[in-house]
Amino acid sequence: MTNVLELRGVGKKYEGFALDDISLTLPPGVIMGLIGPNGAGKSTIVKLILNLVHRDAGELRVFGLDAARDEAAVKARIGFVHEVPAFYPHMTIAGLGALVAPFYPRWDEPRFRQLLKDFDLPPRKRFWRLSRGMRTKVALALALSHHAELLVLDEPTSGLDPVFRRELLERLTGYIADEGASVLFSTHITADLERTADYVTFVQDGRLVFSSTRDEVMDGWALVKGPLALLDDDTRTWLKGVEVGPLGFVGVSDDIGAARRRFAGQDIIIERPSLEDIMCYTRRPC
Amino acid sequence: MLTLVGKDLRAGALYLAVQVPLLGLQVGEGLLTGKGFVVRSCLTAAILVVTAQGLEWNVGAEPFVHSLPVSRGDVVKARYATFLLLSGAWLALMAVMALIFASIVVTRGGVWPAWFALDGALTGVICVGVFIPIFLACVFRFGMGKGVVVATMVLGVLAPLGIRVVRAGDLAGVIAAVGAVPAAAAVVLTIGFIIWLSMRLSIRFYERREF
Repeated sequence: MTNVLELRGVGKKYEGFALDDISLTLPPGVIMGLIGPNGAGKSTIVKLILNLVHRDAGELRVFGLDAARDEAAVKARIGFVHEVPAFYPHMTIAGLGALVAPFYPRWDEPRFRQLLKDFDLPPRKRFWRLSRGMRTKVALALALSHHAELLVLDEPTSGLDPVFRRELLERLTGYIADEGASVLFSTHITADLERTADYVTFVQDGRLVFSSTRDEVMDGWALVKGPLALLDDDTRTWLKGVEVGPLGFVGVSDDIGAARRRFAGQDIIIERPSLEDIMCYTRRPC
Repeated sequence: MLTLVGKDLRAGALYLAVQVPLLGLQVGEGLLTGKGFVVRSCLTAAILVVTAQGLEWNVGAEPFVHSLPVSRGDVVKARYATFLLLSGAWLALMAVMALIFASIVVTRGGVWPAWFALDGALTGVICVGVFIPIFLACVFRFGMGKGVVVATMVLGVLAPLGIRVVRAGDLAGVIAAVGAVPAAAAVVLTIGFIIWLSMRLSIRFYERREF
């Protein structure tokens, strides 16, 4: 079966920042979390997929089609939610639906109406009167109403309260179950992904750190804690992002087996790290 | 592409509606004075054309527009189609209103306004047909903010030529010399070429733009 999304050696240069050699694959029917600190290149990857910016290197295929050359055909099958959804402020929610509907051959008006009800969105309310969370709900309702095969969400939960974040994630998992769609979910709130993501892609400073299944990441990485007496230069170099405190050190390794062998018999605690631990310690000591 | 034109009209409907009474005022004033009417009509046409584009730029809705299943070339073509549609509708509206008002004036012993003649109409077509393509090409090249500044500078440089064209006597002389049909055909073909050239450039510019 054709992968929903394939990036091979994709690069994009800006003044002072470069996205370099990004490769990832998103199979059908899964949620992929795209994580990384602010400025890591997550939004650039999303923009490349939507052809909002042009790649300088590599190949980017969506549904087996070239994202730039087959732009319209690709976008007809994508639902997009921007970090800060911006639509015509004077229009009502129902008006926005009517505006967007003709662009999508598979637009489902009853579904749109149902989503407005589910999200407690009054159809006659004008967009400028909506709160940030409600605007995200409108964007999500629009994205879910044309049977998109790929949802691209760029930091949709940023700045939202935990209740709505959880509701959003439940919606996404429900959508995948119903439609068999895939989701690319860019976020720096890693806790959201630990509940829902099947795949995790981690970018940092424009480079790919890893892109694999969540279980491979969670089972393969190690959070290593030990007393200061055991922190020699070798260990400091071997671990990533070693943080030294008054009672000991903490760092991470991308090979839990090697960590267990290396520190076998020593007064060292090896735990399963959270995605936040990995993101944080691979950048610098937290 | 028609869907995009529909989107532009729907999104800008409220703002376009505000313009209609202003158009009426303009026609009325044009009938009374006839001075500066064509130039101000160009500005009105520009406002009509950039309503949707300016709105999208102002509220940051461009990423939303570019997430819709359309190519960038289609976005540009649709905006030019909107321009032709609105300009045509505006000219038709002017003609109808002028016909009504001028008929009343003429039956009461007045004269037809100078601009409501072939030279006046062609002057309007030339002004709108040069002004808007330059404006759109600049906006698609530089974005709305910087594009408006660049377009204003370009049009400022071209203004002396424009003023010369607006002087109806010049064009009336040309029409008298070559005949009405050849003059009108020459104007329409030239303006058509300018619009086509502007659209090709705009597509090229816009396909390179990043958001």
